[in-house]
Amino acid sequence: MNFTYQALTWGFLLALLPLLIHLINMMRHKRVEWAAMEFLLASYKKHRRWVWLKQLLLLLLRVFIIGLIVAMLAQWDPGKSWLTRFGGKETHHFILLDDSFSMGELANGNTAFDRALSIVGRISTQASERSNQRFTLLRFSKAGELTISKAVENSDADLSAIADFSGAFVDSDFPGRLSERQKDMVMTQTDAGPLKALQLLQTLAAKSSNQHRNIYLVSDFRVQDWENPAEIKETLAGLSAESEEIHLVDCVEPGNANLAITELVPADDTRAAGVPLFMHLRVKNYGSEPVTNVQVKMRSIFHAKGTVQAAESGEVTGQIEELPVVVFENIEPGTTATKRVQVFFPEAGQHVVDAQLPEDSILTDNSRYTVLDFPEGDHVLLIDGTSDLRNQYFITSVFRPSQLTNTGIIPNVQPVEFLRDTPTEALSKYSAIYLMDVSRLDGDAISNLEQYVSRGGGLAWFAGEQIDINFFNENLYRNGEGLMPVEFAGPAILVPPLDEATPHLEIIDHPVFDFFLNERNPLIRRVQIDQYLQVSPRWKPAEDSTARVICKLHNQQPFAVEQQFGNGRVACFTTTLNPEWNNWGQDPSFVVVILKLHAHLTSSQRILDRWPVGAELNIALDLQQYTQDVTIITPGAEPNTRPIEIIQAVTTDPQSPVMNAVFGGTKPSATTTGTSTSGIYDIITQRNDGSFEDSRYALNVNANEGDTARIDREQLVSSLEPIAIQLSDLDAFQGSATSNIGGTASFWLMLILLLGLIGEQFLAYLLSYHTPKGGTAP
Amino acid sequence: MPDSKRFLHPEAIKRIARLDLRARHIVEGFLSGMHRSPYFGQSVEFLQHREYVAGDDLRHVDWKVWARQDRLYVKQFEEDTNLRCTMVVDISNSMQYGNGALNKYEYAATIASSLSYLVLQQQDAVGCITFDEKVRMRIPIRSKRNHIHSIIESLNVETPRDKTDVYDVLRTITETVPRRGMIILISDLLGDVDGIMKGLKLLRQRGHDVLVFHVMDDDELEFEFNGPMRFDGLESSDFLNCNPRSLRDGYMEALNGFLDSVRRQCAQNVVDYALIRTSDPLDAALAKYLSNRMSLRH
Repeated sequence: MNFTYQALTWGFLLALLPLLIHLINMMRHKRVEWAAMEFLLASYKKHRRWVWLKQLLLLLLRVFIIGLIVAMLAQWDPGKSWLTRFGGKETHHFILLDDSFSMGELANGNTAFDRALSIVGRISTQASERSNQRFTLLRFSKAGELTISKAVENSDADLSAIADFSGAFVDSDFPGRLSERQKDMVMTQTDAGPLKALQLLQTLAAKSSNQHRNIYLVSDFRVQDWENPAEIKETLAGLSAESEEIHLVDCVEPGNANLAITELVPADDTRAAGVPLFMHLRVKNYGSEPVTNVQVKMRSIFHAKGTVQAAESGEVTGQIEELPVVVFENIEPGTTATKRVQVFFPEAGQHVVDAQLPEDSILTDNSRYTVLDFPEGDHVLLIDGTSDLRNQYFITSVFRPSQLTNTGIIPNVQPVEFLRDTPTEALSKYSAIYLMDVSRLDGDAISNLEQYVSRGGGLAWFAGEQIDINFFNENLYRNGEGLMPVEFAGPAILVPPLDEATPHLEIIDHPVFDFFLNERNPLIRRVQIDQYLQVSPRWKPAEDSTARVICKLHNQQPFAVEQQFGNGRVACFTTTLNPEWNNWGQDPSFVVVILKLHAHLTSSQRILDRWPVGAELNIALDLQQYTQDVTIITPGAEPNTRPIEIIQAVTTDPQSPVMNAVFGGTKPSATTTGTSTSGIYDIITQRNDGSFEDSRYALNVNANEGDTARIDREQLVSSLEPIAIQLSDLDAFQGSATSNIGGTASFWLMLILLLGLIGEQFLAYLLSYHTPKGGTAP
Repeated sequence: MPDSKRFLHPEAIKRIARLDLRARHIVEGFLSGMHRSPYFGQSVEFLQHREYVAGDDLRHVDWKVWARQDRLYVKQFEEDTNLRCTMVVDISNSMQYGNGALNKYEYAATIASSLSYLVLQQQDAVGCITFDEKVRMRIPIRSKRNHIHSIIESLNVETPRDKTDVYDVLRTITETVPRRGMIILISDLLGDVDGIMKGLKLLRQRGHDVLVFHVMDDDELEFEFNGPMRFDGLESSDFLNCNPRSLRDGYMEALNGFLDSVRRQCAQNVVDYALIRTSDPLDAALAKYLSNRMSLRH
C-alpha cells in the first residue's frame, strides 16, 4: 500500500480503539437485578447468533471507518486498477533526462547536467505535494540499451532495470529517495539523443493506460539533435495525443565556446616498427569566435610485446613519451584545423597515441586516443602468374628496395597454387595480396580469396598477357557479385592523345593518386600506357555498388577500379606491372602509387581507434590455447590503480574452437563502469602455458556531440507544430500545472466513508447503543 | 406497633375512603357479594353500636337508644361472617424488583393491606399468609378491626428473599384453610406456571373463591431498556450481558406467552385474574378490576 504522507500511517493504530472501547464497555455494563430472567434467557438463546453477528459487524465497521479516515488523511494510493474502477486516474510524470556528454557544458561552476538534476528534483517535490502521483525517470543513454521491440515484449521488471524510477509511487519521502539516487547519476560520455528515449517512452506510456501523463524532456537542445526533428516530431505527436502536458526544459546557459579533438588518426601510410608514422590531429572550433594559439599536448605510449607478467594494471602502463606540443595558431569558428604529427615506435606492438586539449566548457571531447598496431613487418603475398615471375620484381623492388632500406613491408612471392592450398586463416597473416597476370584460379583459391578479403584483407589485381577474360568475367566479376569490380571486354591498344602534352593517366582525387593532383608532382605525366584491358561496354556498377574508377586513361577508360568487398578492398588495374604494355613500372611515380595503394588496401586493418564509447568489446580466443580468464583494465586517473574487471570467456557453440569474452555495451559490469568512459582499455589474456598477452582498444567519444550550437527556440517550437509543447529554460520552468487528479478517488472514498457511518449508526441503533427519548437508559 | 403506614398508605386509604359512592359501593358490593349480608348473621352476640347512616336496615335500629338519647344507632352483632378472606402474598426475591415509587413487593403488600383493611371495615374476616419457597408467616383469619395491625406486621418483611415455590405453598394453604373463603393471591407468578395453576386448581376444587393479582413492574412488561447492560437474576445465579434492545422482541414474545398461559389457565380454572402494573395507582387499579368483576357477576 502506498501513502502520500507515510508518517500519518501510524494513525492506523487508532483503528484498535473501537475494540478497546468495546472491551472496556463490557466491563462497565450497567447492572440490573432482574426478576424475569427466564424470558430474557429464552430470548437470548433464540437470538444469540444474530446478536453476536451484529455486534461483530458493528465492531468491524467501526474499525474500518477509522482505518478509512486515516487512509484518506494519509492520502492512500489505491493503485491504478482500483482508481480505474472508481473512475479516478493517477498522474504519471515521465522525465527524460539527457545525460550525453554535451550536458557537461560548464557555466558558473555547474554543468548543464547538474542543473538538469535540480529540475528533476523540483518536479518530484511538486508531485509529492499532491496525491496519486507516479514517477518515471529515464536517461537518454539507458534508453539505447533496450530496443523498441524488446520494450514491447519485456516485462515491467526489465524496463525497471533500465529506468532509474519506473512508475514509482510518489509519497512525501520520494524527493529524499530521488536525491539519494541522483548522487549516483553521472553524465555519460555517449552522444545519446532524445529519439530513442522518446520512442521507448511511447512504448512505456502505451502500457500505462488510463493515466494523466505529463512528459518532461530535460536537455540542452543541440542543433545536431533537433535540426531535423521529423522523427522526434512524429514520436512527440503520438505522445501528445495521450498526454496532458509536454515540457521541454532547457538547462544550458548560452554563450559557451568549445573546442573538440575530432580525429587522431594515422595517415594512410605503411605502418611498421622502426618506421616513423605521421598522424593527423584535427581540432574543431564549435564556438562562435575564432580561437588562437590552441596548444594540444600529445603523448606516445610504447608497449613492448611479451613484457606482461601478470594481469595487473601496473603491467600495462607502458613507456610514456611526451611529444612536442602541437600549436594551432588560429581556428575559425565552425571550422576544423589539421596538423600532422610524427610518431615513432622502435618495436612491434600495440602502441598508443593520445592528445589533450586545454580545459574549456566541455571537457569530455578534449581528449582523443588511438591504438596503433605496429607489426614486426607488414607481410604481403605476391602471386605472379608468369613462369619467369617478371611482374613481382617491380612490386618487390618497391617494398624492399634494398636490404638496408626498411619500408616495413615484407613481400612473399608464391605460385598460383599457393592460394588454393593455403587456408584462409593462414592467408590472414598477409595484409595484402597482389595478383599479377594470373590467368585462372582454382575454385578453392577463389573461395579462399573471397574469405580473405571479406575479413579485411586487401587485394590488388594487375592485368597481363595470360588473363583469361571469360574466366575473369564469369568467376571473378560474376555480374558484380564477385571479387573484381569490373567486367572486361578484352585487350585494347591505347591510342596516344592527339596532344602530346596530355598525360595518358587522368588523375582522380583518391588516396592512391591524390599525391599527383594539381600538378604538385609532374612525375605521373610521363607514364605511357600502350595497351590495357578494355572494360565491357555493358559494365555499369549498380547504384548501391561500391565499385568506382579511381584513375582513368586519357580515353576515359578505367586505369584502376576499386570496390569494397566485405571488410576488405579490391583494386583492379587494367594494365601490366611489367613493361610489356606500359612504362609505368619504370616511372618513379610507380613507387609512390604502389606504396599508397598498399596503404589504402590495408588501411581498414590498421585503425584500432574507431570504437565509440559504450561499444561492446568481443574478445575471441582459441579454446585450445587460452584460459577463460580475461582481465579488462579500464581507463583511470592513475595508471597503477585503474579499475579492473575479470570476465570469463565462454563458448556458445560446442563445435566451435573459439570462445568469446564480451565486455561493455549493455552488459552490466560488476566492478567497473563498462565501456562508458573514453580512453584506453587494456585486455590481458593468459595462455595455457601460463604466459600473458596484452592487447588494447581505444574508445573515443563522438566529437560531434561537442557541438554546442543550440537550436533556436522559435524554430524548435515552429518545427514541432501543431504539437502543444511548453518550452522553458531552467529559471522559467514552473513544473506541471495539472491539479490534483486524484479527486475522483477521494470522492468515492468519501462516499464509502459516509455509507459506513450511516451503516454504523444503524447497527448501533439495532444493538440499542442509542438512547431514545424517554426510554430507560442505562 | 407495626408501622402501618408503610403498606397502609394514608393517601391510599384516604383515596379509598374518599371513593365516591359508586366506587365504595363497588368495593362493598364486591365484598358483600361474597356472602348473604354483611349485617345479618346467625350469631346473636351483640358486638357494638354504630351510628345510623342512610340505607341501614331499620330492623337493626336500636329503638331503646333512640328513646333514651334521641339518636339513631344500629346494633351490630358478631356474626359468623360468610366472608373469610385470606391474603396470600409472595415475598420471594423476585418481588423486590421495581423501578418506580413502589417495588412489586411493596405494591403487593399495599394491595394486601388495603384489601384487608376494607374487609375488616366490612366486619369480615381476613388473614394473611406470606410465602417464598414455603410459607413464612401465617396470620389467622380474624374479623377484629385491630387485626389489621397483625396483618401489616406480617407483611413488614425487611427484604424479600429466596425463591418462589407457589405450588407447594398453595397446597399447604389448601390443607390448612379448611373452610371455604376467598383466597387472594398477590404475586408476580414468576416461576413454574404449571405448578402455580395446579395449586390454584386445588384451591378451587376445595371450593375457595380464588383471585389472583398478578403484580408486575412496567420494566418487566415493557422491557424498554437501552444500552449495554448486565442482568443478574434475582432468584438464580444466571446473568446476562447484552444489549436489551436486541433481545426485546424475543423477551416480549416469551413474556406474552407467559401472560397468555396464565390468563388462559386461570380462566379454565375459574380463577379471577388481574394483571396490575406497579405504576398504576392502587385505587384505580382495584376499582377497575372490581368493576369488571361486578359486571361479570351481574
